[in-house]
Amino acid sequence: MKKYWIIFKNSLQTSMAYRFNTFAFLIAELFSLAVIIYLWLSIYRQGNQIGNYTLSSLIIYYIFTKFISLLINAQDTARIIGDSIRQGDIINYLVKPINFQFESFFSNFGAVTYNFLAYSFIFLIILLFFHGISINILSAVLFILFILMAIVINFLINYIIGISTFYLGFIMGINFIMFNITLFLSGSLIPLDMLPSLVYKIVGFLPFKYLAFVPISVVTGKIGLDGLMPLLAHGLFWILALYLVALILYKKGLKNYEAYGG
Amino acid sequence: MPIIEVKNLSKTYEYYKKQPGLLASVKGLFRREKLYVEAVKEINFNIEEGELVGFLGPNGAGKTTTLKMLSGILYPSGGEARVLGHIPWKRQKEYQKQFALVMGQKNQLWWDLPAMESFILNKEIYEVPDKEFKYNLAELTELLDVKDILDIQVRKLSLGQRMKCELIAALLHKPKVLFLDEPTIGLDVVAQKNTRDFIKKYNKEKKTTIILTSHYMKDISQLCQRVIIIDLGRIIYDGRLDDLIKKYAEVDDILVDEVEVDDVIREIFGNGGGVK
Amino acid sequence: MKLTAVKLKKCVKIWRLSLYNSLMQRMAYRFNFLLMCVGVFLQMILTLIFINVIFGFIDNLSGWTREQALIVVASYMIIEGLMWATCAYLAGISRNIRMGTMDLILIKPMDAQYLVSIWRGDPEDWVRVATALLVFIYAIVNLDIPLAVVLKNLIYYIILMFNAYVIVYSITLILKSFSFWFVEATSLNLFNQAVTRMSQYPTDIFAHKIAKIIFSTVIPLAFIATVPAKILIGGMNLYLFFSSCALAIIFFYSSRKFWLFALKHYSSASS
Repeated sequence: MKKYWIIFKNSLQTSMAYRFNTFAFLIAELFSLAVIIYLWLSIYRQGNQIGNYTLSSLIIYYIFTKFISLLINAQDTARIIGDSIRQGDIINYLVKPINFQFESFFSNFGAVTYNFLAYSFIFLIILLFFHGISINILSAVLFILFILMAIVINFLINYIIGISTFYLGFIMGINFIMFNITLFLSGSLIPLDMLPSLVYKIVGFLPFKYLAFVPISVVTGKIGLDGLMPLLAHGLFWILALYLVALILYKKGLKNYEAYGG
Repeated sequence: MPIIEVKNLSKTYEYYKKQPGLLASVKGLFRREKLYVEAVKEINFNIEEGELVGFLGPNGAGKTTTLKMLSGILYPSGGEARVLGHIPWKRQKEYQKQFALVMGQKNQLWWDLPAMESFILNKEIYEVPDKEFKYNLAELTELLDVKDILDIQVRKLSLGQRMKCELIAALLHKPKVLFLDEPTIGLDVVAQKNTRDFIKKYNKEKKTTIILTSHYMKDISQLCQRVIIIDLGRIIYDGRLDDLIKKYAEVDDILVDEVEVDDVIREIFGNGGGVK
Repeated sequence: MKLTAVKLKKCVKIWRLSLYNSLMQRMAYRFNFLLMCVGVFLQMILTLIFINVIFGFIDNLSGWTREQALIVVASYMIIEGLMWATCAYLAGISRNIRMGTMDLILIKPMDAQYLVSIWRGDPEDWVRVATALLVFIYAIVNLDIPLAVVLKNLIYYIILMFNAYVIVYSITLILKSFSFWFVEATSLNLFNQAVTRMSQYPTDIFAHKIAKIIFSTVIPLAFIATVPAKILIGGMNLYLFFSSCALAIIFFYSSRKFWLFALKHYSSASS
């Protein structure tokens, strides 16, 4: 178990070394946030409430989507795994007594943790500016819980895409598509409850909502305590399902693996 | 007139000290130590046309840095150099069309395409006329025996085949000067021999001036009559290889081939040889 | 004069070869290429869905109707698509300096900036350009303004779009030149994208004075998509037109100077 802690630590350190990266990442998302805020500001000029959201609650929503995005996109896991397979580095994990999936996860989690430490302060300030001080301990705890769920689900999805390299050879295309699909289905583009109700129902079954819409709804108090358990259960179901898919794909893929190049 | 003239050439890098450990990394966010490395310290040498000179030295000795300066990739921190009468770091087209650089394990060939496509691109970049291109290509392909692999994607080739194609790509424009940076690194014994034989033959036939860096003694002993040994940025020996061996080594020629540079240097110069 | 013609011919030849090589490289993984094209198309669709959802709530966005806003979005997509289709390598510079392959480009007897700019183009972004053109055509056909009037301004629009391309290229080059110092800056690309993406919607949405000033001069976002659209729809505006041309020249010149400066201070990634 200690070896995974070291991997986590190394990943954290690596992220620290790339501090300029971290900064640029943050600025990029803040610019994007600014555009969104201005956009909705213009829209709300003509009315006070759209869907279930007031202007300020919508802004809070997007602030959270940016924060979560900065966390879970700390690493391009799919690409890293894909490269590792294409360039043959994965062989190292086959000869060492270490589990590739766990190694990838803890490496990812290290990067995520770094981003969390680097960004939470700034986002707290931004939140305070738009919302004022009213932090509910229970909401915060639940938020952390669902963020962890988001991290795991996001990792599993990207891991599956990454190991698809065994079958597809090059996963840039599918990674790109999934990125855009996730953007939409997680509610990062538009809050899911602003969509037509049929679409909302279908999307609600998929795991993507846990990557933005659910944690945000939880922390803003949209979901009552009685709604939490089913949400949690549904999420855990998806984690299990994705984990099994990942396991099967990995085992099968490895069998057919032929290392590229000399 | 020497083809390559180097006078008091120096290059100093600056970098930040990176300590291991989590605590040190956190400290590193706030305050970092700036350090300087004198990679090359006032080196001097001249090379005549047609010479095949070996640059020997342990890792980090300054060999690659010197080659990069002579290629015009890096600006020196001090001193001057001229290759074919040109100042390399001015990067004049007339100079660039007359030299080539091949770095072991770093390809200029497009990974997912057949080597031929990269050759055609180079042809246009170096402005090689069609007839000359066809002729040079045929000649090189014959010499290196790669006729069948030119249409195979580079990533599917073995390391040895890739190096052959890299050499072709570099020599299509018949450069007068060739810089080879660790060309045999990572190759198997057979591929190493093939590469060496080719370089030797090419140098003999075309009278191309070649600088070859390596930390394999065998590359140098097989190819070069003259060696320049660099360590910690300074030239510690510049002269004929046989003299070097005769003067200091108490071993047979055969044994000399088998050892690594570090051992030879340590043997010759005591502990001033620098360790990996 | 003849020398320039010869030089130009060579530049065009190299560019053609690079486009060909880029396409061939994608074709090496045909299925992946198809997916990338689908991905690009999907990205456009998502943006259009977003626009539609917004205009489901309102009928004008800071004075822009839906079709007018679509022209801005389409114009932006055309510029972004063209940038990636022609100068994709600029996005990857940081990685290549790290891998040392930048050195091999630097020794070639051709202007390094030109080579680095056109070395690779992403073929799937022609799908982006094509889709954007379709949206563009749809939008101008469905405007309240008669088509003939709009088409009269087309020549100005094209010139302004050319300026926009130059401006975006120059900004990209300047940001990428920073890679020579910060070898780790792989997300400069992200930063670049995020900044230029701000011009995707009519810049009139930036209501505050400070924002307006910054986005018209320091980073002339308005001139990337909004101004060309404005002149296409509303007719010629000498002030905007000449500002656009001036900015294009200033940015291009500055980026060239900065690139040369950065190159001078370049020290390779490894010894």
